[in-house]
Formats: sequence, C-alpha cells, structure tokens
Amino acid sequence: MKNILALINALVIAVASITTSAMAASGGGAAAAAGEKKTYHILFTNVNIFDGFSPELQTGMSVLVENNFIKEVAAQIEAPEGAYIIDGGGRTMTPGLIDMHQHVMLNPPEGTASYQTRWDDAAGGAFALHHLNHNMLMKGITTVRDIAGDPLDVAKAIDGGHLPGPRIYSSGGAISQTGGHGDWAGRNVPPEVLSSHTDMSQRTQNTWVVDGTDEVTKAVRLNLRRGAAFIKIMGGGGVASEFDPLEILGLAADEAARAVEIAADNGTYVATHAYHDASYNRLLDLGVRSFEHGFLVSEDTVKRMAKMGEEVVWSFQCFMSVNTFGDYDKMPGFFTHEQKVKGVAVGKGARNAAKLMNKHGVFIVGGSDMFGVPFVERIKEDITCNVDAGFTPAQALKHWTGNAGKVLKWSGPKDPYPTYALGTIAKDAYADILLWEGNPLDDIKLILDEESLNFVMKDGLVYKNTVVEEDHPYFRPAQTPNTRGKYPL
Amino acid sequence: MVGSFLRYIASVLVACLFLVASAQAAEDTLVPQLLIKNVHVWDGKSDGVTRRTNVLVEGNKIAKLRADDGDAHAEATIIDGDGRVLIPGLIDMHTHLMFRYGVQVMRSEFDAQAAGAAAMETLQLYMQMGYTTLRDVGGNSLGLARNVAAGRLKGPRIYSSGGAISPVSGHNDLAMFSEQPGEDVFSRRGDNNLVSGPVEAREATRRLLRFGAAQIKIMVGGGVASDFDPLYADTMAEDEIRAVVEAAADFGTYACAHAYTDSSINRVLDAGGRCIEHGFLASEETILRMKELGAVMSLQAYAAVEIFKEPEKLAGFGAENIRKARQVRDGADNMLTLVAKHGVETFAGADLWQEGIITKTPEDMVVRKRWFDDVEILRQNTSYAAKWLAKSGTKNPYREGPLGVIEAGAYADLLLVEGNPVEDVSLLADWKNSIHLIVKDGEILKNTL
Repeated sequence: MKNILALINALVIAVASITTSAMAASGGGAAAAAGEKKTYHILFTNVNIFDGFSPELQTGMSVLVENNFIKEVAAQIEAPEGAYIIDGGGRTMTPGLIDMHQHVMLNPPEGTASYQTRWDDAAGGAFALHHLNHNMLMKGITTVRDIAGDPLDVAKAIDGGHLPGPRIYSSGGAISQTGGHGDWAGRNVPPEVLSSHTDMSQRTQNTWVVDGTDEVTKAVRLNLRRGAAFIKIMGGGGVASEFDPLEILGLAADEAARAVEIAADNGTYVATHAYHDASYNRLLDLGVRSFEHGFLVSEDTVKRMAKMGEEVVWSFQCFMSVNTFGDYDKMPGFFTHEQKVKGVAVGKGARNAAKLMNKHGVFIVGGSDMFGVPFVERIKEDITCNVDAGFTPAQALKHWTGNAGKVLKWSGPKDPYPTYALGTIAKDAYADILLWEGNPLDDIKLILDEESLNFVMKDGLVYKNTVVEEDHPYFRPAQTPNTRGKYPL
Repeated sequence: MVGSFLRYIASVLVACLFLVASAQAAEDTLVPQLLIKNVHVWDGKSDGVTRRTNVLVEGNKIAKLRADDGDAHAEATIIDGDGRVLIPGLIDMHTHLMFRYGVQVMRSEFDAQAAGAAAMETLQLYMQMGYTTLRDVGGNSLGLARNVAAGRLKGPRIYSSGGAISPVSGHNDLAMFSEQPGEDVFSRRGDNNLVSGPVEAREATRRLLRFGAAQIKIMVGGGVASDFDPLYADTMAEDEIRAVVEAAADFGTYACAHAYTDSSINRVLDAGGRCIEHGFLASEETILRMKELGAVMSLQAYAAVEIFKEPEKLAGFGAENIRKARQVRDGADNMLTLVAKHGVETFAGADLWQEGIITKTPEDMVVRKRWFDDVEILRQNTSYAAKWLAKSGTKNPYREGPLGVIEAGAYADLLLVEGNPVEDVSLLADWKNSIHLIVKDGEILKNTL
C-alpha cells in the first residue's frame, strides 16, 4: 500500500524529531541553550591502557570520551559537569579491533558462487548484516576493511545510524582480469556476459572483470564514485581457484599501473592480492602500498619491503594459511591432491613469511580473510594465530589496532571517517573502545573469551556492557529508531 | 500348549530386546524436547483457553497437548509457564520487507544488498513483537525467504510474493517521471514486475514462481498518495488478471489483489481471484458477492482508519489527497462493519512496514476491536491467516504441518503471554513486557520468565 508512503514520511519526520529530542533531554550532558547541540561525557577511571602501539600498558589511567571521540587520556582527569563515570576496576582498555581483510558480502553459504544465482543479492546483504554484528561488532571488531565486494550502501546505512554495525572501509569490487582471482562467474558464462559486466557478481558490483587500461580506469572510477576508500587489485592467483593458478601474475603491468595512478589522483592507495616474488616486486615497483597474503615471497623481497618503512604494509592472513593450510589432511575435502599439495606449500610459506617479516621489522597489519560459516565465527583466532606464528601478544594486537589505524588513514580524502584517528587510545581518536577482564598481553587467548570482553563502544555508543548495571541514556546502543533494545533479539 | 507358551515367551523376549534396542537408539540420538508446563492454551481457533495443561514440543513441531512429565526425556528443556497463556506465533499477512525507508530513500540510498541488510533488521523487529510468520506482498524478498526456510538466516518465516505484478501506471509502477516504466531501479532488482497484456502477465507469474514466490500479488486498483495511480482507476484488464490467477492456480498456488473499489474487486472476482487486499471502498453488494464466492478480505485496519484519521493534518497532502484519504477512512469503517456483519472470510496484515511505524503493527489488532471480538482478531492473525498460507500449495515453503495453531503436528511457533490476549488483544501491543517466551520452529528466541 504505497499510497501510505508520503504521509508516513511526514509522520516519520515528526516522530523522529520528537524521539531524538526526548533522548537528548534525558541525557546528563551539559545544559544546552535552545538550538545548541548537546555534549555528552563519559569518564573511564581505573583502566590499564593498551594504546594500540606500546607493549607496555599504561596503568591506573583515566579516559574522557566526549560524544564520539577521546578528549583526554591522563592519570587524573577532572570530570566535566554531568559526565557519566565508569570505574574500569582495573580492566584492560584496548582500541576496538580492526580486521583489515574482510569480505562481508561473501558470507552466504556458497561464497562467491552465490552470486552466480540470481535473486541472492538481498540475502547477501542480510547475511552481511548478521555477521557484521554477531561475529564482528559484538566481539570487539569495531572496524573492518572490506577488500573485495560492495558493502558500500550497507556501510552508508550503518554510518547514517539506520543499521547497527562496525565501521567499514570498502574497496568496492576488486579489479580483476578475465579469469583472474575476482572472476566469479561460472565456467560456461558466455564471453559477452563477462565482457559486458552483466554476470551477477559484476552487476552487483561485488567484483570487476576487466581487461585493458580503459576498463580498469572505468572500474576504479565507478568504485570511487560509490565511496570506495581504496582500490583492490587481483595481482595474482589462488590455491583453490577455478581459473587462476597460484603461480600467475594477475593484471598486466600497465593495467596495475593505471589503477595506482587513478587511486593516487584521488588521494588514496591500492591493495593487492598476491603470493610470490614476481608479483610482489612488480607491484612494489608500481607503487602499490598494501600487500595481502605473500606466503611464497623470499627473504630478498621481505628486505625490500622492510627498507620502505611505513610506505608499504604487509597484511597477514594468519589463520587461513597457517592453520587451515597447515596440514594435508586438514584441507577442505573438495580439494584435489594437487590443490592440497599447493595448500601445504602455502601453509609452510606463511609461517616462513611471518618469521621473515618479523625478523626484518616490516610494517604489518592483520586481516583475517575469514568469511562464511564456520570461519566468520572464529575471526579473532587470526589474532591468536599471530602469536603461534612467532609474534608477541603486543605485536599481534598492534597488527589489529594501531598499525591498522595508520593504514586506514592512507585513504586521504576517501576516508569515510576522517575526523579522528582509529586503532588507538589517545586524544583525538574515535571512541572505539573495548574493556577486557584480564590482560590480553599476558595471555592472548583472553581475546577469544566473549565473557572477558566486558564492554564494546563504537563511535561513543555502547553495544555490549557488563561493567555497569545502570540503564543510562548514553548506554542504549546505536540503533534504528524502532529497535530499542539489545541487538540481537 | 507348550509351543504357544514358548512362542509367547519368545515374543515377549523379542519385545524386550526391541525396547532395549530402541531405548538405546533413543539415547544415541535424542530429539530435542521442550516441555512448556502450567499454561492455558489458546489453540488458534477456539473461543477460549484450556485449563492448565502442558505442551510438549519435539524438534520443530508440537508433539503433544496435555503432556505430562513422563513424556519428557532427561535432556528436555522445561519451562514453567506458571499459569500464563500460550498462543500460536502471530502472522502478519501484509508487509513489504524491502521498502523499509520508503520508496524514495530505498531508490537512491539503498542498493539491493543494503535493502537486504535493512530487511534483516526488520525481520528481527517483527520477531520481537511476536510475529513468527510474515507474508510479503510486494518486494524482492525471495532470497531472504529461501534462506530463512533453509535455516541459514534467522527470522520469521516469509511467504514472499516477490515483486508485485503491476501494469504501467499501476500501484507498483515505481519509476520516476524521468525513467521509463520497467527500466527503473526497482524493476531491475525485482521489486516490481511491470506487465502489459496477458502474455506478459502470465510470463511474469511463471518467472516469480520459478524463483520461489509462495503466492502472486497483483496491483489492480489505485491509491491515495501515489504518483501515478488515481484512487478510482482499474489499472489491470480482466484478461491480464485472469492470466495471473490461472497461471498461479495451475502451479498450485493463488494470487492476491490490491483493490479498493467495487469495480476493481469485482473484476478480480470475475477473473477467478479470491483474495482481496484493502477493499476499503467496497459496497455491501460486493461484500456479499465475496462471501458467496468464498473470497477473503485481507484487513489493514490501522492503516485505513488511524493514519487517515485526520488527513488534513498530514504534511504534503493537498486537497485532493485529503478528500481521498477521508473517503478511504470512512469507506474502511463501512467495509469492516459489513465484513463482520456478513461473516466474510478474513485475515489480517497491518501494512505498517515503514521506518517509524513498524512497531505499531500489533496496534492493528487493537484497532480492529471496533468491529471484531478479541478472539476473532487473534484468529485473523493466526489460524485464518494460516488457512490461506496453506493455499500456496506446492509453493508453500512450510508444508510439514499447519501454522497458526497449537495442535499436535503443527509447527512449534509459540508465544507465552502475561495476561489473556484472548480476552484483550491490547496486551500484545505491549510486546516488550507482555510476551515472555517466543518459540519459533521449536527454538527459544526470547525467554524473560
């Protein structure tokens, strides 16, 4: 009955404005003159801070949150009038975790294959929203870098306060060649469908199958137009891929260069999927900055990256390689023998690469690449895997907070969250804050224990709270105006 | 004598072994059980509630009424209802899951994926309000419906029509002035199926059924605030309607029609259609014809009489809109009175799916008190609704048992309520506090006992 719509639009505006002012009125912030925006303060006391970088906790600290950012971090802070004071009780405060390698649109059970069947894009969004909340935000992952796929409108709805969820930095559809790692169309899709970008994966803009610099230009610009924060290229193949073996170089040099050029003209950077020396070195030459996977690179390549300091970053997918590809017998059942052998090589290579990257001090971020059940339910095991792979707990957490926050700022004018910093507990950082019962730097496994995660705040609003009993107005989670109450049901 | 005695012993021994064996087997794979004790049951049909009794759920079905402790195995979950009332999960027969933020915002700010994400939120909200089944009468929720049925997504059961079938300038023609009908954003993502002529109507019906529609929705009449379709227009020809109705029937399901006026409704009835949505301007003669033909009126009481209570106060409503709104309001009052008086078949769907108003859905039941008893209102949202859901026949995603009732073999969709909604449905409007237990498909989704 769409004839209701116009009048409901009017009603909604009326209802929404009454509701917002009611909420504001019941808050305890500083008294505001008519027309002034209210200011809310939350003062955390008695917390031990992991700031996203230092392996030493700052003990016995206070943190003042104003609206959605951290205003001050100090041993003593005088509470502003009306501030809500939370006694952290000696808990460990960390920045919200950042997963730098996600694919939230690939959560439907068939993964990329689900986009070969029509009518599933809405269901894809439903799956994405479910996992973004249950398995990411509610588990302390307050930001994701989505690195192939198009959650851009979902992100917009989240940022607009319509839907709950973490912050999303999206690359939009990955830039892939025909038969490359982003070519998700079925084997027998007619060539003209691929080249006209009308197979389901491309129609939904979850991937781009492009050849030649002109097509690359178009795809990159389409992504940026919709709000992509950075660009992802498929610089190589995969272990189990149908079309692209592990050994290939993905995209010709001029195609990759064009992506880098346009991204740079837009003030942002390119990330690449790649595994080995040839692809890594070609793309380092071309100015790509974020390097995913890389499990077959040699020490020389690692040294080259180390020399570049924080110009480039290695994004480490620990669990999916070290664990999943650890053992011939643990491989997915549908792998052929050759694929399993390849998988073992990748697993070995991953452990080796991690050792080398650590040894030479390469700038590193985490990034689980864990999507789809059961992996999406176990994302934080990627962090503990870092420790198995030879990093310290502090390094593991830094990969998932401070370093990640720095890389996210490489998006420059395309940064969807430009005002404050991410991944750190410091003045002028976003109030994305976690409180843990115990110290994850002592035992990294603590981060897997959801009961030890006492408090999840994102953008100054609280999503999980077992620290204080009170139902303070600030403590209602960010929500669509209709769903007042806990998420989920 | 000895022989028969021995045979008797043998059969007893065999019986014992069998018992042992099956007990062993039962122990190895125990069907999950939920025993809800000390409840008064309203079964979805009867005039009142039962005496205090116990209900046994096994797996996703109701196994037994008047169960006792002995029916439950050691690992059963036991819930003590403590004298509260148990009713079937509610069914809303008229929603639009894919349009939560209104046509304009869904068009410009939400791609299909984000629309699915928003629908996921909507599903959780309906569930919180006690609605365990929804019938989506327009919008591409086919993928969502399929994945809920497969257990991959959590939410109420969805009977989806897919994108409604509408003619050019009909009620679902959502193209903007600057777009070509059928080439707009909504048509492309399957939220609308634009048809011209019976051949296209039949093809669209078959396509929707192929992609999993449980029933078909057609837009025959007009609307109050719509861009293109005036209130009194009959926008689909009889042969177009007939093509849809017949193609749906051939496939074992049915079509429901958005129609307000006598001429639209009668055209649908002439074409073999038996399910009318809205019908706010129907006259007594038409209503009697519906009764005679066994047609059903799908009721949207709140939307008609509450929202249009004072249309002069609605922003953006010009004189013409106000006039039409008043007609709809007054017509609806008349229609509901006549439908109640003549005993026309009914079910209810609030049509309150939009942002800011979704939580009014249970109040639709309260508004209906003007014309119906509380127990009849509840039937309209349970057993009467389920009767028509079953007419989806081969396209019914939930065919293993009935919905909307509490009886052995029915799906275990249950609400445990504080107070007796059979005596006063307005209890259900306070769903946050009044609904203590929500069970869907045998799974406990809310328990605040």
